[in-house]
Amino acid sequence: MKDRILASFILVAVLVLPFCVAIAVTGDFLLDFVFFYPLFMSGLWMSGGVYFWWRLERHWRWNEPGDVPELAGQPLVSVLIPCFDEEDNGEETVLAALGQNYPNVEVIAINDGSRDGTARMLDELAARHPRLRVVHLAENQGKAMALRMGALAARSDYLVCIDGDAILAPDAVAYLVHPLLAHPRVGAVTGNPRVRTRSTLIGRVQVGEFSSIIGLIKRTQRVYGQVFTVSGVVAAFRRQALDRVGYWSLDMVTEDIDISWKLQRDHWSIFYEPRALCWILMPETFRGLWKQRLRWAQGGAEVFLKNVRSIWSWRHRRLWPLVAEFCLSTFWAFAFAMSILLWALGKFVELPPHIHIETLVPPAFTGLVLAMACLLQFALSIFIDRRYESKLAGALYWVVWYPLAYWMLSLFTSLVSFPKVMLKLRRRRARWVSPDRGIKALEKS
Amino acid sequence: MSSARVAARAMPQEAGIAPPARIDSSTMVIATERSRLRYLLDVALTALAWLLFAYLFARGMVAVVEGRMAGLDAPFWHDALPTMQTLATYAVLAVVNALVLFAWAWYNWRRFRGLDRRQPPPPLERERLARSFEVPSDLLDRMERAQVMIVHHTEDGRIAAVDTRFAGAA
Repeated sequence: MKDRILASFILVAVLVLPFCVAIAVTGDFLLDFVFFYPLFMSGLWMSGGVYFWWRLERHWRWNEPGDVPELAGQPLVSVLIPCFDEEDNGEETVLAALGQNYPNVEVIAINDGSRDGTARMLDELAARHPRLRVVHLAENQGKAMALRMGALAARSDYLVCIDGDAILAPDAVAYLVHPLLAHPRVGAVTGNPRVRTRSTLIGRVQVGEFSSIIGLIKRTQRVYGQVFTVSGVVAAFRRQALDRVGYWSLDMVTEDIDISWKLQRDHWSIFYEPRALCWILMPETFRGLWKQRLRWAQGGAEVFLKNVRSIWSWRHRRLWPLVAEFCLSTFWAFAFAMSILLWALGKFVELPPHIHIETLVPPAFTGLVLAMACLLQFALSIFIDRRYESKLAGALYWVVWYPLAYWMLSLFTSLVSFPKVMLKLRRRRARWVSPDRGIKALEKS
Repeated sequence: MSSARVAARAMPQEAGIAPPARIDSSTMVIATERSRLRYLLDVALTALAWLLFAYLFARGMVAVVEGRMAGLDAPFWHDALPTMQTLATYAVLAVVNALVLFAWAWYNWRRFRGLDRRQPPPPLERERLARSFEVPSDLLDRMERAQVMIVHHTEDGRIAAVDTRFAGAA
C-alpha cells in the first residue's frame, strides 16, 4: 500500500513539477533547461570518455601479439546462453561461444520453452560438442529464470551471460573474466556490444548511437565508479556475488538493470571492458526499436521505484548520483512535454506572459553550441572506438540522426513508460517477447 | 580445490571443433539487400538532417556576425559581450563538470590504490547453492553431471523436478 501511495505521489510530482517551474520562474526558463540538459550530459559523457581513454584504454594493447590477458590458473568459465525461439540464430551463437580462444569453457544453452525447433537444434549440437550442455525448461519461464537455471547447473563460479542471438568475439571470454580474477571486489563486467544489423536507416543510426552515446556513458559511469546497468546481451558475473543478492529478479522487465543495482547495493563493483566485443542483432524497424526502447525505459522506471525508498541510506550514497541522473532525465522528458503544451496552448489561448513560450526552436547560440557539442561527441567517440571496428568512420554520415534517435526516443519512452510503471499495481513475472532482430529475420518469417 | 577446477579436470576438451570463422565487422555486419530507391531515400533524408544541422550552426554564426556588424558604430564589446558571456558560461560549466568528475576519479584512485578491502571470495559452497535454489544437494549433483536435462517448474517458479535420465532429444 505504501508503495502504491509513493508511486502515485511521484507520478503527480513529475507531472506537476514542470508546470510549477514555469509558474514560479518562467516558461522560457523551462525551455532553457530542455535545451541545456542534453548539452550538460553531452559534456559530462565526453569528459568521462576522454578520461577513461587517457587514463586506461590507450594503454591497453589491442590486436597485438600477447594482448589478450592470461587467466591465472586457467579456471573453468561457464557461458550461459538463454534461448527462446532461437532456431535461426542459436547455432551460430553456440558455436562462437564454443570457439573461444580461451580453452577451458563450458557452454550452457538454456532453452526456455521455445516453440520452434530450438530444442532439437540444441540437442543435435550437444551430441556433437561435449562442452555444450543443454537445460530445457519444460515451460517458458522468462530470461531471468533461464539465467538462474544456467547459474544453478554451471560447474564454474565465473558466468559469462550472452543473448541467444549474440556472437562473442574469440577473446571476449578472456577479457570479461580477467577483471573478476584480478579484482576481488568486482562482481560483474559488462562488455562492448557491436551492432550487426545495418540494412535500414534505423539499424545504421544505432551503430553511431552505440558508440557515441552508450559507449561514452559506460566509460563515464565507470570513471565515476557506478554503472547504471550492465549490457544484458554480454556480461560476466561472479556467482558468489549473485548468490549474495539473490540472483536475477523474476518480476523485472529488464533483469540487467535490476541485477546491476542489486550488486552495487551490496558493494560489488561493475567494470566496463570495451575489448570484450559481442556482435548483436538490433531492431531495424521503427516499431521494433520503439518496443525495445520502451522496455528499457520501463525497466529503468521499475528499478527506480523498487529502490527509491531504501536507496537513501548512507551506505548507498555512491548510487545517489545515478538516481539523480534518472530523476533529471525523467524531469527533462516531462519538462519538454510541458514546453510543447505551453507553446501549443499559446497559439489558441492567451497565457500569462511569463509562462508563454514563443518558439520551440533553440535560441541561436544554444543551437550553435548544441550542434558543436554533437559534432564533437561524434568525432570523439569514433576516435576512441575506431580500433574495435574498422571503417567505423563510415557510420559518421548516419550519426546525424542520433540526437533525434536518442533524445526523442528518451522523451517519448519516458512519457509512456513512467506513468505505466507508477500506475501498475503489482509486478508480474517477466516473460519473453520475441524482439525485432533486423529485417533479414523479419523477411524470413 | 574449487569445484571449477575439479570440473575442468573432469571435462576433457573435445577434438575437432572447427575454429571460429573470422569474427569482426567484415564478417559480422548484416546489410540485407534493399531496393536502391529505399537506400537513396535514406541518403536523401540524412542529407536533409545534415542541412538542418548546418542551419542550426549557421544561425548561431550569423547571430554572432550580425551582432558584430550592428556594433560597428558602438564599441564592439558592447554587442559581443552577451554572446561571449553565454558561450563562456557553457564552457565554464562543461569544464567544471569535467573537473569534478576527474577529481572524484582521482580521489577514488588515490584512496583505493592497491587496496582490495574485500578478500577474494571462496568458491560458492554446494550446500549454499542448493539452499539458494531450494533444491536437495543430490539434485544439484545430478544437474552438474548431466549434459542434457529438462527442468520442470511449479506455478510460483520453484523447481518441481529435473529429468536427467537421457542424453538425447527433449
